[in-house]
Amino acid sequence: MMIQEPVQAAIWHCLNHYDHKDAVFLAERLCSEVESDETIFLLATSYYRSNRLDQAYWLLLEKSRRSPQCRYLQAKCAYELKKYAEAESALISSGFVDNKHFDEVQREFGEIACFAYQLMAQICMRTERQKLAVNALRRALKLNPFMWHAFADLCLLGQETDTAAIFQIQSTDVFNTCQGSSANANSMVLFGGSAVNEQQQQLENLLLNNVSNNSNYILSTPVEQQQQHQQQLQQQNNNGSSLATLQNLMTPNNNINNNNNNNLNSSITMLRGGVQQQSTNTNSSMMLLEDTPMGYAAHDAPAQQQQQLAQHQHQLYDANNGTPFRKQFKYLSAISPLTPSFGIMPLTSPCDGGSAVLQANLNLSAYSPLPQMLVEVNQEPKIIGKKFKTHVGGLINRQEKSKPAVFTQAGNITPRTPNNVVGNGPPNPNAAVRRSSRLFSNSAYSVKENNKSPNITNNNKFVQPRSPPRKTKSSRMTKICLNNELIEEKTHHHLAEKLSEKQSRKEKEKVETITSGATAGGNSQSTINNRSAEEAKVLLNNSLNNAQTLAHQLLSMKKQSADGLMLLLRDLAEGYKLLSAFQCKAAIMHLEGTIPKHHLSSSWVQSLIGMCRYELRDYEAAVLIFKRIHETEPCRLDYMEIYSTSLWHLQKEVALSALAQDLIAQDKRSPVTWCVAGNCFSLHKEHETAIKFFKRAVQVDPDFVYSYTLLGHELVLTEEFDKAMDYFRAAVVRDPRHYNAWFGIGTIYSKQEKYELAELHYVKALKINTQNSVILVHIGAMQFFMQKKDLALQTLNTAATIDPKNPLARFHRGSIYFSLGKYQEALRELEELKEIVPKESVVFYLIGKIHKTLGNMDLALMHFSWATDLDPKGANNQIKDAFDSMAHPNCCPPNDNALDVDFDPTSERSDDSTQAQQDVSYDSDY
Amino acid sequence: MAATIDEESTAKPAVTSEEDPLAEERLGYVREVGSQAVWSLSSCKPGFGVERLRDNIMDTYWQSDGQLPHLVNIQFHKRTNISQIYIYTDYKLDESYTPSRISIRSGTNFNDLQELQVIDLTEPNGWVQIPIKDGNVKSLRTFMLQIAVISNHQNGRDTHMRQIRVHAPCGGEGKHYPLELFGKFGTVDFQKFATIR
Repeated sequence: MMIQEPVQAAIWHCLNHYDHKDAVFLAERLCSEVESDETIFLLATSYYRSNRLDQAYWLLLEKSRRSPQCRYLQAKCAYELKKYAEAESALISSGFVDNKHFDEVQREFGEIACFAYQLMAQICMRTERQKLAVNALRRALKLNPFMWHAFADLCLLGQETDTAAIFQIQSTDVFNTCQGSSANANSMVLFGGSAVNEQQQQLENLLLNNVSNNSNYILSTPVEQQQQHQQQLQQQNNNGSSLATLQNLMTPNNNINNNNNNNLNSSITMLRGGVQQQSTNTNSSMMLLEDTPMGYAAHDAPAQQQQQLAQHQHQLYDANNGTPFRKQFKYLSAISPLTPSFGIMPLTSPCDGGSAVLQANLNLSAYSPLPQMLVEVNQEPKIIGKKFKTHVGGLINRQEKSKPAVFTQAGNITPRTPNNVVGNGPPNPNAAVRRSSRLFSNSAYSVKENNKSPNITNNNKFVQPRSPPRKTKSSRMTKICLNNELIEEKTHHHLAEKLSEKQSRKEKEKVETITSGATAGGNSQSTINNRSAEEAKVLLNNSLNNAQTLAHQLLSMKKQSADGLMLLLRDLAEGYKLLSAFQCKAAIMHLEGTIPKHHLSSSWVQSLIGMCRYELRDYEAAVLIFKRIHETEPCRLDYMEIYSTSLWHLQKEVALSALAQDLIAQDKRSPVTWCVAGNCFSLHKEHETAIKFFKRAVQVDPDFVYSYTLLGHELVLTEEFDKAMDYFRAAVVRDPRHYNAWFGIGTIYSKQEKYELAELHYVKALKINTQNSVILVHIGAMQFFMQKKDLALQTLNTAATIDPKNPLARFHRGSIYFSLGKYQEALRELEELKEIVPKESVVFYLIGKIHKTLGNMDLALMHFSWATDLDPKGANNQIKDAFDSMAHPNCCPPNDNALDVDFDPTSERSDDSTQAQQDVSYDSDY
Repeated sequence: MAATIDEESTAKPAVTSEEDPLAEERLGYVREVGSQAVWSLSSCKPGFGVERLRDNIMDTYWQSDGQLPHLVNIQFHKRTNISQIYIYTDYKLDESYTPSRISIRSGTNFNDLQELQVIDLTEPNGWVQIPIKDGNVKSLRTFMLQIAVISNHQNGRDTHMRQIRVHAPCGGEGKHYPLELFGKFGTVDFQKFATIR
């Protein structure tokens, strides 16, 4: 019988380091040895991550495990294999999703319920049960406001959403459902680790100084540091006792360091790299010392010194933001009034984005308590003095450093944007977090991926899948871990002390506090070192108290950190919502106005803006934006199809060909690639090839809606209307809000001269995208063909108002004036148009025609000849015919007749022109 | 099967080797519709069949295997506007296999084919454009076209044809795209607003 735990740990280790083959191999061995929910899940996860969906699904189906993780993974596999019914029944035992099942799902799936909801929503969307999908998405968002794509899906479904309500954390309960309780905490760390923040840097500094003192990397003279510290404290501290404390604390010998942690030592070199540029502004930090309960100073126990040291340090962090932490601690009291508000984190106004997320980082790192204690407890009595000194030294040292603006928060917050700004390396799902969960949640049921110790066992233990790491891990792991540990240690000490202080101010209890401080550490230590049970028992009570307080504390910190993200998400979501409602101008305004600069410049936000520009028919701007994105991130495929379509509209063959080449060389399995290639050939008028490529796009991803639409448009160009209609309908079935496809259907009907049907479908497209002047122009033309000329004029007026740059609105208005016999208005319109687009031969042709009708033969001839000059290839035979008819004014050319039939210029000349010119808002009509 | 050949209606062929049907297609005036049709041959040597006619490779050819006349039948699923046919032949390579007289016929099926024109080729080398006209109109709406090789150079029996392309006019006469009543827009400024996709 194998011992599972180390094997599992090894498998997770393989998985986390992308050695999927070995993970599968080991998991298969494990599964043959022991067949349990856990091992099967592990094997399925290995299959899934090595992209063997079928195998994973088959395994889960065959073994039919009922644990929620297995069922969820089974459903996920089934969904990705497009077995929607199977996915549904895997999620919900009774078969089909219904509203009444939602609560059941929440019960059954516990902390992964939000993902189960999202999966349900996706299944429902595929199976055209939009209402259920919306319900599920809303529930998922409620459970986990971090699920951006649930929100994006809601927007795509055309749902009215209240971004402020969605992206906000009302209560800290949310964390239970959106961050996972234990092993899944890597999401948090991901977020925390990605944004290098000030506090964290300070911690690194501290740590470095610690370490450097201990290991003779002396960055500054410890004695001097102490003196400085002392001075500052004396200046700033009203409390005499605290002064005493300080002096008391000052005594330790500089050179003690023998007990230092090995891991600290080992990480020195790593830390050194990052620290130098980091900075602190801790001058202000000393201000808060008066709040520190310093009454314990007289106490001689070294442990207490350590506690106080931790306290000091805490306050130093608090003080970084310059506000008294009591005020800043907004949430703590609300959450647990029992907890003393000794503000781990100041709550600054999150408006500046940076500081909010910054806080988040500290909070996150502070979330995991006490790991350092593991190492330190044994050595506690000996090292305390030294520790204090080194800490102080660190603190002071921090002050001496200058502060470049290092931190950025860009990156992992928006999942589509891999963070390239943060130089400090990958987020780290660190061991500290997991240890912490073990420490106070008593239900440490996670595989410690990095912790192979076999005696961590628990009945409830279940291997949690880690989401595939988005970034590579690097040596920075250690660093971050250490940081966390440091914070945690301090947190703990502080908490312990506070707790005891609250209970009573007697010194007796201070002793207890000290022990409790040791307890928490000892507690965790005991898990590894198997400390004697007696000791643990004695300390249990205190440590439990500590744990509770700490838990509250951490919860509030988490909330604060998440609030920073939520603020950003709210802004992004507002922009996204506006875009999905095609309020593009407002969307651009909002995005550019509210999103912090470093986010605004990220590719994802930029592509949103590019998308807006594209929807505004401002293709030049869109092309500029997408070009920049493509240059900075050549491998980014998102929205490249939009880029290619913009290029198609602008007829930039070279750029489009280059883009198609790039993408084909990169990824032949993405529909985006083939859409781009198809667009390229479509622009070359090689329609057959274009159709071939668009069909390939459909093949590689049948769910990518835009490829259907493009295929349809291409087939319209080759006048294969029936096939085109099929594809447009396929697009509409997959996404009813895909207005391009509705527009395509309208185009087909208009080509078949079924104008009413055409208008109907154009209007459908317009209802989705109300601001699109091109659709309006087409509707106007349809109305014109149906002899609703006034309506047509109104429509075109609206189009011209919405988009003054759209020349076609003016042109068609001019031609309608012409057909109504309002020659002067038509001429005025066209002359204006001539100024905007000076080289359009058709404009000159129409002007010539009007002059001809008015009898201005010379002007007519002039314009005709200009028209010919501008279009020398004679693509429009009618110009030549017009010349001919000028030469023989009595004989009407057949072509002109054919055209004029449509216009019927004499029939409605008596129309009320004033009514026609009213700028009635077209939108209200529909 | 085929209509009788009217010797008098022989038309002068437009033989120019520089002509490239693709160029015209790219300009957007015409488009290739041969791919929508069903193609059949009167005969072929194994391995030199109809697919060689449509593979866009000038080095491959269709070779007939039987009695003159050799026929290429192009049947459309629906009535289709045809404005030109392009045939690629190469006298230097094919010599006595090169067709010298070609007849173009159209109809609704094999039984009602009417000859449109007969073209004489003299040592053609490259694309031969054959405009299809229906009276005054520069295109013909038809279900079926038949290209018949009546004779070859040097009295050759079998024939080689390397490529055939069939062109339909884009938005031809009377079939304007509704929003381009006055002809196609020439500038990008106009065209980019002409549609969405």
